[in-house]
Amino acid sequence: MQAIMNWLEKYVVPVAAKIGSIRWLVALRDAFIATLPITMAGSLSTLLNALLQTYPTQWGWTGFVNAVQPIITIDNTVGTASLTIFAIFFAAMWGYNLSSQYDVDGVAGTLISLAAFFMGINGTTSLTLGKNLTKGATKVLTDAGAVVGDKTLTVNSAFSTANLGSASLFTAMIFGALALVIYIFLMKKDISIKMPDTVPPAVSKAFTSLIPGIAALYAVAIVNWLFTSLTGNVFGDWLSATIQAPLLHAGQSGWMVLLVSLLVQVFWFFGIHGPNVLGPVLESIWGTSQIQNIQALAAGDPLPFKWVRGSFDAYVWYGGSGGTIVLLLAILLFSKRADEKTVAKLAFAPGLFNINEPVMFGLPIVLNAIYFIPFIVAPVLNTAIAYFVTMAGWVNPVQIAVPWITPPILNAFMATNFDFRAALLALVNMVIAFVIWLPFVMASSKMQEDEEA
Amino acid sequence: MIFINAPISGDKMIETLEAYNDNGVTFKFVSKNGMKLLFETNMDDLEAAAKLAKATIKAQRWASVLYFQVGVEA
Repeated sequence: MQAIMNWLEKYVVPVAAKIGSIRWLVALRDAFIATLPITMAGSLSTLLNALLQTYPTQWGWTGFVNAVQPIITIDNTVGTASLTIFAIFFAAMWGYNLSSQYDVDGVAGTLISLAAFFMGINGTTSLTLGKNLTKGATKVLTDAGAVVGDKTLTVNSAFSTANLGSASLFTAMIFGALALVIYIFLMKKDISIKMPDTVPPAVSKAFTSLIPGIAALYAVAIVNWLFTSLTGNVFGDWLSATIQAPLLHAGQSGWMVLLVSLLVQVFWFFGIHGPNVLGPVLESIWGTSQIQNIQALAAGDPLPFKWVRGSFDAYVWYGGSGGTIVLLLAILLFSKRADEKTVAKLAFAPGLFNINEPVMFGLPIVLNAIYFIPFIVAPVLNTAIAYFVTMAGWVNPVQIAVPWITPPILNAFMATNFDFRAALLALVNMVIAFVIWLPFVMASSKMQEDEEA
Repeated sequence: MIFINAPISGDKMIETLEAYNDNGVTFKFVSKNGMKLLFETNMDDLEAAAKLAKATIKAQRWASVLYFQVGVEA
């Protein structure tokens, strides 16, 4: 074990630490994390909408739906102002976090990232019409500035909410990055207007970022113009189609899902914060997929993805990474070791809310050779089962973001829009993990007995 | 005393905490047992000392991805 530790410390930890400390990746991860109030509010709105409108309508409870209409209206307002325009919030947080990582003004960074994002997306809204407009209607609309085509109506200077949601996240990332790299570079080079000390700090700060901000936005605008002129495409639309869509599609690969599940466990076991290292990948691929699912659910559209960020929480990381809640159950029911039973009793309540630090270090699991195999095998097998069942369409895909502290089984039930089959799948996974953990718990118990004998 | 459960990079943690000397606060490495490191500190509030130790280590670039536990030794 010591040899493995030395090897890890020499070769793996520096690489993991390097990845985990790349400012751009840290900022990316933190930008997604910072949008949590928005994703949660949007998810709650979707959840309430399902409970107050979708299901009651299906059951014919029109009287109930009419009675709660004001709540539905309020709820829809929250949904529209949160997840529907999610890319705006992400662009803001991306600018703030990246600027903060480089110790330059985060407020200006936020604004620059936002402005760059709006440059990248399509600034027109097109509607497909059922039939051609009359000459009179065409003239009225044309006079108002709209462009009327063959069964189409295009309104300039009108951002469609379709371009402000999660479909434009990579546009926000790339355009924000382009602008911010120039902004940060110029700020670091101190190319800015200095105000005397007598000027209030807020004014002085705004002036400091004036030249870097203007330069950054014009540079992005030039790149955007060149791209559009040369290709005839809107840059944001092209990015969504050629980068975002294939990456998200790759995230649906079983091998990729299993690899992430395996790496997280191996990292944890050796004392490396797995989700922290893999956070940028987890959030930008599966987190984005999850937001697209929530948006599709809210819009009543088919869900675009089956395996998303919340799928790991629902079926694999119940009770914390490693599904340790079932280990605690196995210890409480079958172990004869007083020390492990004491830890299990103390760790059980936090474990119900997916907090497993007491068991990871208290038992411990970290670096404990006897628990290495179940700690790796149980989650990976759980991932494989849940992936197969989800892909087969036997349970609803995860389509609502639930807080990570939501207890096991309930998490799967809520995240899949109240699919009892998902709750059952989570339970089956827990039983399977229990069976995997049990022989090792008993072996640990026996080892103690043998030592005492 | 405070403890740190650190599977890896224990030596760097000892070095970092022993070098800490802000506002007269000090940490002194006492012993190592497996992955458990024990430190003495001149802070009266041990809970606050544990939090400070964790924050100090987390602030190091090499520690950003490490998973470790800091607490008050009973």
